[in-house]
Amino acid sequence: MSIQKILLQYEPEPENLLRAIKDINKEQKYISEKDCREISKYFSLPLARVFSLASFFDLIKFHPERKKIIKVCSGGPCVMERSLEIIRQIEMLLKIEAENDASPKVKLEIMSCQGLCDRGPIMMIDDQVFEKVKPEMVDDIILNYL
Amino acid sequence: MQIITKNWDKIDPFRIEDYIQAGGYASLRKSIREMDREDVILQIKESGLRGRGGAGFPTGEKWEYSAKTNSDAKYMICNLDESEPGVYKDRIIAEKNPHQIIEGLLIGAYAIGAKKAYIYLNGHYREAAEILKIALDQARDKEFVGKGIMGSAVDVDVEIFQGAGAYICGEETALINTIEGKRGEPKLKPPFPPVCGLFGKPTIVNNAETLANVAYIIKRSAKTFSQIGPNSSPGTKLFLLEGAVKNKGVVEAPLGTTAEELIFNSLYGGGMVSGKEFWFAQIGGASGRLMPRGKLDQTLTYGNCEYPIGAGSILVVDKMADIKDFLYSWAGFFHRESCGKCVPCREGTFRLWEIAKRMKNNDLREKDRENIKDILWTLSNTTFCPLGNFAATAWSDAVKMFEKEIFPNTNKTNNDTN
Amino acid sequence: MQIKINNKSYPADEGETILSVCKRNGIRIPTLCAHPDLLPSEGVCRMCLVETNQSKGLVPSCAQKVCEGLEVQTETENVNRARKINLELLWADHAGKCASCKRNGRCELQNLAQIFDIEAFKFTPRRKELKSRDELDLLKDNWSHVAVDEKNSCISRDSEYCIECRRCIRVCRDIQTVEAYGFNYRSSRTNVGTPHEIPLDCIFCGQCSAVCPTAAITEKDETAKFEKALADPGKMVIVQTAPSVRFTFSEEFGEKPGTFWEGKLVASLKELGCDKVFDTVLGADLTIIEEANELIRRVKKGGKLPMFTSCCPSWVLYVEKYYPEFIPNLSTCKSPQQMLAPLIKTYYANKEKINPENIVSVSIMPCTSKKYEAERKEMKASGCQDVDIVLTIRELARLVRKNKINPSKLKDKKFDPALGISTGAGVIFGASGGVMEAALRTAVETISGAELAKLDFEVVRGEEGIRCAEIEIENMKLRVAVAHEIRNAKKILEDLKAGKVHYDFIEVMACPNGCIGGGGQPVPTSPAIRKARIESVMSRDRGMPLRKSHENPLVKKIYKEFLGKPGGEKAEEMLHTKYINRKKK
Repeated sequence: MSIQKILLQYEPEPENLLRAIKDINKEQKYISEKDCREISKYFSLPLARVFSLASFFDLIKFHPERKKIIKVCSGGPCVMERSLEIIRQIEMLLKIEAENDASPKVKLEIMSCQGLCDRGPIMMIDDQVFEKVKPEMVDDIILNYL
Repeated sequence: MQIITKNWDKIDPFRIEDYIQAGGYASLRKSIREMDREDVILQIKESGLRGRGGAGFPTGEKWEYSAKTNSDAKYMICNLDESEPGVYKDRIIAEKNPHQIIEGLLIGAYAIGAKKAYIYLNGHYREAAEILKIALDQARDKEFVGKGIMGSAVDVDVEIFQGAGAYICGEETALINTIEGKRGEPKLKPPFPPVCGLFGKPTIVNNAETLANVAYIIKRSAKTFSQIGPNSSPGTKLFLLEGAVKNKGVVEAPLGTTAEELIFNSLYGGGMVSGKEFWFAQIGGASGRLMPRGKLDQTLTYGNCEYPIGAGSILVVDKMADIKDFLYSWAGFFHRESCGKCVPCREGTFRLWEIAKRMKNNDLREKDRENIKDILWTLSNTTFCPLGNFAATAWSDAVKMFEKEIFPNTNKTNNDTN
Repeated sequence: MQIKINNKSYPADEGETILSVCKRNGIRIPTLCAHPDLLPSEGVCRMCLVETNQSKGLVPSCAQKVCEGLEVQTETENVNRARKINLELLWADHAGKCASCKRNGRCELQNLAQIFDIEAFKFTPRRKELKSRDELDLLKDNWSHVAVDEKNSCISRDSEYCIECRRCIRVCRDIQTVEAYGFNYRSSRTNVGTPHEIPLDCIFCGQCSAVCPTAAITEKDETAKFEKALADPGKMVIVQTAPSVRFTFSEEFGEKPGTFWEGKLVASLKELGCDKVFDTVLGADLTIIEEANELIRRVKKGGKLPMFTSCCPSWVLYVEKYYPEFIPNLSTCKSPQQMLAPLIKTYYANKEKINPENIVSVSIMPCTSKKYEAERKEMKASGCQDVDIVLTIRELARLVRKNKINPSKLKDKKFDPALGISTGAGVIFGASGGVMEAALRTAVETISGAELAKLDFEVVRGEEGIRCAEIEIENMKLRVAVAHEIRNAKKILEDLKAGKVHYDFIEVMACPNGCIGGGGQPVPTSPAIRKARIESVMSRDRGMPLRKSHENPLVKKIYKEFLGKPGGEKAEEMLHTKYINRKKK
């Protein structure tokens, strides 16, 4: 769907701003400067306000993601289920460091709680969620899904 | 004692009929047809229901503020943002029995005179979003939601507003900002939302679990509810048992139950995972305090208590665990989730995270011990909103309780620097 | 009501904050996000915390209102601990950078660090300057934090120095309604900057640089270019100084606001090695002749009304970018800077037989936007760029200090007379309402042909955001309005569009109280400081022998020898300009 079409689904009211931003982000995986201008024009809000809102949230991106993003939850319940070991395992396997942007192909992020603690530890590769992951499973997951 | 979880096994969340069959929406009907707005508020007030999100503010009192404020528009919001690590009770309610929340929300909207209600949903909750959406559509078809509810003159429209991933949006003023299309930053109080909230209008923000209690109170009377649990904080509470406990998951128990019971009673946690020894429990999520063995007999209630239950999670940690892993977990979380608005929280959580990373690599520096003390102090005492306090709570306890584990060889250096 | 602060009783007004009572009574409370022009405060820096008998913990005095029975303590152990720790947290990124910083000695954070005795390196400095290998690890968390913008001609930004106080965001959004800045991202990645890190796209008024407590937002520094010109023996450096800077230069050297330092300003410039120092006030007088002439023509011949003044480049840019439909309303007159400059490179160069290419034309301005104005493509009436270098008064003061010149010790000097004779009418250009008043002095006398009994048009003076008046000239009424700050100008534009108001002549200055509150003026600024500056301007005008632009003998001479008639062909070529629709499609 084009940006204009997405925007036209919403009345240009401030309360629809985040919804429109999320829809566009979902459609194109990120919000470009041009999109931001379109949004700002449609809602008659300054560009700075649109960007400042959008950049507040984890789920909104501003650049096309060229890397695979692996995320592991480090909330208390997941830590109890050895999620930090999972992180170490991934670090060793891929020879990368969590939160470090150095690798051109893959980035390992520590993620905040997704509220899936009853199914933890939670690991994600891009949008795919893996539940009840054990450190021993990491090799397989990486091999098959990365 | 079951209020919230009562019909979970009988109800298909995709079928409103199941909920109606189990007596659902009768309380909404009773409220609108047989009770004045004031009666509804009075019932909630007399029930003694307190907010289940963490702060434990009396719900009826909150509603009364909004009801008494004259305004051309009012709003009722269900806070289903729960982003606290270890807390997912509201998601479970929404996934198991969404109408329970919706009914409470509608009764609240009727009571305060709001024509518009929102369910503010955590941006990560995909399934719950689907379920709530379908539930709302069904409720609209049955005329529980929308114009002229059940043939009356009461209009309440309900909308789902889903966030986009930010812990702080669970704070009510930050949540309101987000719906208004602004950054999810907390606002200066006063004014308080019940008087001046969403779009400057009186607004009630209630936790989803709180609202899930409302139908029960209206149906069974305030008195019945108020007799469950302690006087000062009656009712039941969903607890989340996590970590080294045998039966993990959501349990419902009357408020006033002790942590010991919740962890060791076979009704609930059923004791430690075999071979593991209790070390401490964290009560209420990443922002919760650490409860040592000796305090397990403390009752868990809202109001003045040493170990606030927060949103109700109980993370049981055994002696095999490393405290540094948790310090790392907490510091990382609050560092990522600080909204960045005020200095102590933005800079303090960052510095704490920096120290936690060093600590994990056994690379603590001489100054760190003093710095931790300063940062925890400023987080606890000077931040704009409670997030700063939250960030410092568990750390402060850990530093006190596990000094040896955290600073294994700093006794010497401390003397040196002095 | 009475409240108690540190056990002493003080009167306080309902609705006032604790901070305002303390400030009035000289009780020290450090602040970083609070600013007298930006009220109410947001309470984000947590420096102004105090203890009260009304609540358990510390409360921000900038947001907390006074109430009956209030008792405040401003120097308790907890208060001082809070100040110190929060300062240390901010200071970590500034430690060791002061010596090379533009704001050294004039930085609010540096001042507080000195007062509160902040340990230099309590935390590891992050962001740009990393010194050891283990600090390299921190880089990855904070790299995105630093945004540097040098891609515009007026404002330099380096978020390395930013303490996220949000003053710039607020002044730009609330006072200027431009909202070029946002509070972006979250947590330690928080960044005060432009959306998508685009180069600054605004009206360059520079108010952000005037309220910034540190060196995160500053005027774009052109002192090096100026120094190079001074050092070049083949170049003749000719300087002009704006009407308002003679009233504010002194503040950079510790004098109290409003101290008039015209002679010392000229002397300092001469000391630096400038060949000639001319007066932009003469340009202002020329502006008045042309503008009054244009106004009369528009009124009498049914031209586009209301006519807007065009001296303020930020205002001009605002109309071009946001309300291009009003471009025909802008007076075609150039600003005083741009009127005097081509005369330097043509009229004066001719007279003195200097090759204009060897002239470096420099102007000392209260304004960052003048840097942009000088670069506009239309500003080439002399055949080359009319103004080569624009320095704000802050840059000049920095250079003066760098050269160890102490202006207070210098003997006053006069402007070079070739282009240095001026009137009180031009001087009052520095304050909001001044252009209007100066224009009225000339217009009324020109239309009526009789001498004005009273030169002071008090109705257009003052500090109100919008001031309106009806001036009767013979049998016609001239409806005039004066606005300062873009928010007020915007209101007038919207009202004009809606047909709610009708005016013939409108003066707009983008900055608070006009050029004396300019974005390039000395820091700090506040309503009280600007008031003192205005008073100084008005008293200077009263003391001048000539107070009407059309009576300036030099103006008459230049028209006779060079420009011809006001509005004539040569004057049109030299002194008038065109505007461009710059609205984003």
